[in-house]
Amino acid sequence: MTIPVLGRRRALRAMGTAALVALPGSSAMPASRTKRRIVVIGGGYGGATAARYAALWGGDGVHVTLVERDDAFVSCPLSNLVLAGSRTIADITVGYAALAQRRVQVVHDSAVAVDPERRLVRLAHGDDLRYDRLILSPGIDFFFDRIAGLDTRDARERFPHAWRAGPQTVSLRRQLEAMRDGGVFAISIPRAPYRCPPAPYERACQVAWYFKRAKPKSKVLILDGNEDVQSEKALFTKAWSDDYRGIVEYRPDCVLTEVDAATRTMRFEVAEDVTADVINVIPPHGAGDIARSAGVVTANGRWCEVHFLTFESVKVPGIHVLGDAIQVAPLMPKSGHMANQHGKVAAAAVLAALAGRPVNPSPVLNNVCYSFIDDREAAHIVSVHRYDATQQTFVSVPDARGVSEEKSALDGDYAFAWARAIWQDMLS
Amino acid sequence: MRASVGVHNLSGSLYRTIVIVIASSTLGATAPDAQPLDVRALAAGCATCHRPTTSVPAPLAGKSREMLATKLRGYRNGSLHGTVMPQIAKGYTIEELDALAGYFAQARAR
Repeated sequence: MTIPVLGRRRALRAMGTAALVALPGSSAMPASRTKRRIVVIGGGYGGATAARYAALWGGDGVHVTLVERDDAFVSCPLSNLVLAGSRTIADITVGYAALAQRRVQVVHDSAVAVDPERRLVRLAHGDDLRYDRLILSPGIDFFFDRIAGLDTRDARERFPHAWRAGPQTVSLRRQLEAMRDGGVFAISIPRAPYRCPPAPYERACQVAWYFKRAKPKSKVLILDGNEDVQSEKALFTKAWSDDYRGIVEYRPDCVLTEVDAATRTMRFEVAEDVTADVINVIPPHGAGDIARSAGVVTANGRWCEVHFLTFESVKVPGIHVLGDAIQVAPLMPKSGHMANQHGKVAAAAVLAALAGRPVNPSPVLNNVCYSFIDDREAAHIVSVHRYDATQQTFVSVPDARGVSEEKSALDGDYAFAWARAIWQDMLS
Repeated sequence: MRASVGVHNLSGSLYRTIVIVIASSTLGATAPDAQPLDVRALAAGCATCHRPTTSVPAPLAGKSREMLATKLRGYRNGSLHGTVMPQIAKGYTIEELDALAGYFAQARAR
């Protein structure tokens, strides 16, 4: 906020409310200047939010383009309920059409390269896009080469990750439907950090819920690459020992090294081999591939480090990275809700930078994640993260952290309401 | 203890924005879209869940500033119970909660 803005507002207020209608300060940029170009790559929880809010707050001063390869958004949150069969893929799919009415130009194409020197985004099909500021929300891509046997397209379809919601969610559901009663569903969890810490355990509950009703002799085997449950341990272990007793088995320290398609066998660094009927391999993953082209992958060849006040890359000026692709601050989850919150801070910072104004020095992020235990009861985990100027990162506020003591239908209702609300916040 | 956070810990920018919010809600003249970007961005943090058009969780737009401020302070000081708001409110300063109450009181209900 600058003093001249204050002065102008005071002056206008003195002139009466009629003058406020034409107040140019209602946009972040003066309308007279040439429109500044903001390009957003990736229309998920982070990117769609950033695009929508950049257009909303930037008004006539900016032209916002969202590059998204898919025709519609499919939500990862609630996608485990599609595996269970209590929701359909249509229930978690939202189109991009409404964003156009928010002055976001949605381009359905794949960004294949970024040229930070010339500030250009190269598309697979369309013309290059020039940007003044680039917001990169590329989600994740997988390191399939870390697991032997996943080197062919056929193997990757046979052992789907379903860790991006969409066709693989549907194909994994089909495999579960086709499985014999008495079969074993095995889920392999990569070492942390991975996208959405509670989601593998929610998935185990959801598949167990399906088995309990439809295939009661079947088993769910959780093969965790970590030494322990990574989120809401008390809640999940209670569900496995109470609701899903005899169905769910949890094994820690199972780092997957190989899958054998012929025998459906999984091999691990140190644990015993496992044979299963349906195998869900979530391979280790990092920032989406386009981040590599942009040169912003700086942490362990996996994630993108950012200046947390602006989400601008620590390496490449003019490129802001958000969502699951970033090297997170301490205790900051890789979640859809968090990506949505990143998108708003990044959008405000980009507009401030384009207008030559100081950025907000004290952004706050909140996070709420719901995990479903069955088709209607859920539990929440919540946190608030404040920017700390001394540490130059977001710090989780100790008093503001919490989890549900137990699952409840109330949390389930709130979880469905959360989904409807956030989809509206990013795509309406 | 976050309870000790006071005006002296507020950044200059946020302090100015709060002054504007308080001033504008007193005068009743400034539409939410004319409010400073810092306050709009702070309020956008709530809009992930609280939408003007959905009933759960409660819409905030157009509600009385006093009621919103009382509730938010109540969640923060532990006198008001809820599912996630008692934790979330503790992550914000009292000044931020009051600024949010001022923002949503001015926002258009649909």
